[in-house]
Amino acid sequence: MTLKNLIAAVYAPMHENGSLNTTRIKDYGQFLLHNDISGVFMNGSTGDFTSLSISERKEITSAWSKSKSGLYLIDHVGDPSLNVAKDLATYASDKVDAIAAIAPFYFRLNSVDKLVTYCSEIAACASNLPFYYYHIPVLSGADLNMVSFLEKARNEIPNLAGIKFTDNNLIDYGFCKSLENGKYNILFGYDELFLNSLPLGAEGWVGSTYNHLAPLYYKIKSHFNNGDMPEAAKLQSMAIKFVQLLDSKGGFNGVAKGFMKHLGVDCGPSRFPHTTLTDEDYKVIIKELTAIGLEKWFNKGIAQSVHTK
Amino acid sequence: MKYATLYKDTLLHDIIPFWETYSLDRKNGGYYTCLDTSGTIYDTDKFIWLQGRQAWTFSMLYNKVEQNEKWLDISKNGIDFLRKYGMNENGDFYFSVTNDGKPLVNAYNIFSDCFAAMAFSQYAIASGDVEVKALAKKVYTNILKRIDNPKGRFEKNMDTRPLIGFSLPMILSNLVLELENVLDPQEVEKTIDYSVNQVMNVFLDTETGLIFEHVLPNGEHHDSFNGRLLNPGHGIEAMWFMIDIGVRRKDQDLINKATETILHILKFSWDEKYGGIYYFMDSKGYPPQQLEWDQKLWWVHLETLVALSKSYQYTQNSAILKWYTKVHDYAWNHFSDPENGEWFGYLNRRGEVLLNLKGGKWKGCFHVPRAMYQCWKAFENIESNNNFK
Repeated sequence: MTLKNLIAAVYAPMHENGSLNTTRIKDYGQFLLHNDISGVFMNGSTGDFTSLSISERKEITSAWSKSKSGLYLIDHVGDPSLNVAKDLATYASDKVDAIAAIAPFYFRLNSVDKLVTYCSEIAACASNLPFYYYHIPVLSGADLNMVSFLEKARNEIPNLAGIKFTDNNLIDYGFCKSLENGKYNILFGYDELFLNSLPLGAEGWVGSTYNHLAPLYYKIKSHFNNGDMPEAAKLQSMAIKFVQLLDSKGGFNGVAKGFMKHLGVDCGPSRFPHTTLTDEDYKVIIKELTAIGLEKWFNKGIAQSVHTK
Repeated sequence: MKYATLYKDTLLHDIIPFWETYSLDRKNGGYYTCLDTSGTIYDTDKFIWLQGRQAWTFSMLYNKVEQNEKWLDISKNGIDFLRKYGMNENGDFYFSVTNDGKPLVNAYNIFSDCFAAMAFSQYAIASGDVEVKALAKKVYTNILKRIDNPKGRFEKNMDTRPLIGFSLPMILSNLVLELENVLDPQEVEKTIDYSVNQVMNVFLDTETGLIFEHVLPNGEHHDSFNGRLLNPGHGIEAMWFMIDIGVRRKDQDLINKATETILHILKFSWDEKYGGIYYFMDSKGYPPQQLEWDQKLWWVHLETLVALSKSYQYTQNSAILKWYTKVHDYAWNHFSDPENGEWFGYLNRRGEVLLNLKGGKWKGCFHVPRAMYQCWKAFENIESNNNFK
């Protein structure tokens, strides 16, 4: 199985009353495939795992698994409680294609050894699946060197597949990529630095803005491949503007989740502490995004493309 | 531009989005083709014919409609899968594999190889990939080697009644033009000569003007189920391959002969009671062996529309246009499903949907988009002529 190209960090769809709405997941998956997305990263930061209960996280895992599509499924099972993480990994082991885990983020880890112990216990609960460590030091507080992690973890985690690397330390990223001739799949997770990851040989990306702007990123890649750097940089700065603009409306996570409805997949409201805006607010936002030329790069809704009577 | 616009819009805004949305397997590569009415996957096995055909379709669109990177990428998704999992140890293509590429049914069916070769050739043009180009040629050569015994060790018929089949010469006449960019010009001409002769002189019956599905090696008919069998859709599809060759060789006689044959077949195989073209018929009117003989199939009608539109483009024959309108109206009223996208594949004799599917073991992303494209282009030409109303 190959895991490359754009992988969307997916939202947890909810009803208007804030309860989980897994009936949306099948359409969500088809929307992503339609926009050339190759996989989903569920129950992650974008998927609001910190405000979901354990059973809700399992419900999401199960719904994606049952949606049966051509998408590669990665389930994030990390948790401050190692036991919870192991439970989630065991649950996921016959439902998805890979698991990932973030470092415990309350009592933060300060050593690679501790991190390897944590990861190896989780990975062993789904030993049949590839395991990815989810490196996001800004949020997890585990600001550890990833090459050192790989060098130690490779001896202790037989199913270690790579890292979801969400950090702007491109030096560490580059070293991880080249370790053992690129044996490990280092998925790049910083959407705003997508272009910067290309010269380092990135082939797989996980991020939330692939829910919204996949055509823009494919275009950046094609400009890069053709050697047209100014044009690639221009489009990358548009992706950054998208994040900044949504962020300025009340916080990126909540605003971007609500934005999905306007692309054709209603993911419902966000949970605390994220913001939920009204349809009126989005009219203004879409106007502002259109004014800076972003509208043409939006992911296309299925209904928009499939012509109806 | 009434027809040209309809076919173009349906291709780009209905048919292609359907496959882009529901069929891609980004996890294992390749495509899911068993899709129900609304696009839900109901079976995950992969049939090599359909893997090759869908990869071909998306490269063809890239080459002929628009250099859309997404289409090239979708094609590559199938090309990579075929290269990785499609072939057995001899380089022959399996009939089917599991969704993750484990072989299910061995290489008894040479059409798997034909569609793989077509896909490789179109993809090589689109991508400039020289390895895939070389592979296209290799697969083609392999097909020719197997031409006299296509099923090889999987052939179950004994030698007692050595009937030969129409399918292979028919597909070769199209395959060779598809592979023109990878073959020597002499090879192309030789194969065209062979297939035109087979189709028009061996399988086309001078007495009835019909194409028989099986004949004896000397072209004589055999009075048996297979010897009497007619497959009207096949015959008509082959006629547009002949028209393509006629255009290429500036052979108006061939185009006219193909046009006559289309008219003969349609007259013989149109269901006067319920409308539509029968799937199988017995040339003597006996009960056909195929239990599904009276079903109405999507590809039969679409290939007929392609044949009629091309024939009309090059002959302006008014009988052809009359048939065109008749088949067009039947097909669009019975097979198309604008609400969910794509076309139904199988109707019963009365024209009611028999199977709630848009894709399956035999129906994938091929006949519908190819016909939409071909009819779009033919009518673009026809309708730009001021005399056409």
